[in-house]
Amino acid sequence: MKCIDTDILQKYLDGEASTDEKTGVEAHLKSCDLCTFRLTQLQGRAERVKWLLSSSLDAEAALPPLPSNLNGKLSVNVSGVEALDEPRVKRPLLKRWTIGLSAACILGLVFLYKPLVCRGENQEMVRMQREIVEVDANSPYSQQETVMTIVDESGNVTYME
Amino acid sequence: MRTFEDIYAENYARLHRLALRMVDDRESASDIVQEVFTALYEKLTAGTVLLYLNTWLYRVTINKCTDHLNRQKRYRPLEEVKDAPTEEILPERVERERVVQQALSRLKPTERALLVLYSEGFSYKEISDSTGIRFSSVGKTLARSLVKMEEQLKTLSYEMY
Repeated sequence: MKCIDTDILQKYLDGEASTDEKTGVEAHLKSCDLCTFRLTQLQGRAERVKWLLSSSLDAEAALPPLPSNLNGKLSVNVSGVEALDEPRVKRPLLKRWTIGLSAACILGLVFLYKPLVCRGENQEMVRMQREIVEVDANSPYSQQETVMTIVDESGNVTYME
Repeated sequence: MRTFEDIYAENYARLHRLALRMVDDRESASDIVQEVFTALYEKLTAGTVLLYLNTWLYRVTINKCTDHLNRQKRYRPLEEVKDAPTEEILPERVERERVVQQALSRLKPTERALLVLYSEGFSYKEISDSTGIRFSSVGKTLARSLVKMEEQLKTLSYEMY
């Protein structure tokens, strides 16, 4: 039987699991000691971190007076029906640059690779190349006789002198 | 119908706690919270009706904290301790607070915000709305952040047990 993912266990622990997830977890826990142990571990970890963060020295931060330019008596209607003008959480600049550069690199590679592939399709390929050279040590290079045999991919033989 | 002063008094301490956990600097945290309330005031005087006031406040606070951290271009040096222990606070509590804050400062801003909101008892929906993390990813991100937090605490040689 496959064990339960940690995020589902965390959701179950926090009472955020859906009905199906909850049923599945409970059925699985009856027969899996490992997951029961994992759940206990998650619970302990969550409680410790919660306790450490909530038992802050600044829990009783003093309330400073309202800035003088703000009118404290301003009436606030919080039960309106207009949609919330939600500000977006901005990604850090470094992360935005990293994502942008990665995308640029991938595009660059695609464009560089494509012409190479296209060029390769029409290019003639030489399967074998052999040179027969008879060397006369007493003659200059320009007078040496050279025969070159070229066999292409379809097996045709070409002699070049 | 409530007044702006009521909202300020109700939310100041919680927002300050969140900002302090995120930026780890009392003065900056106070400035950020004041900026949040100034932004809220401007919204309200401009006639905007906020349907989800709490979510808006938390989200703007997290954004401003993230901007503050980005402006700093570095996380706070680990050795730096700004809060000197006072006579009436037990030394072990000061030490615990220092270690917790150091461990938090080693996490990403979103993970810090997530853990602080979780420790404040927020639901996954509220966490998702406030931090911008997808609702379906909250459980997974939370489980991962809790593990990271615990690892950092252990690295800092803090005995949680």
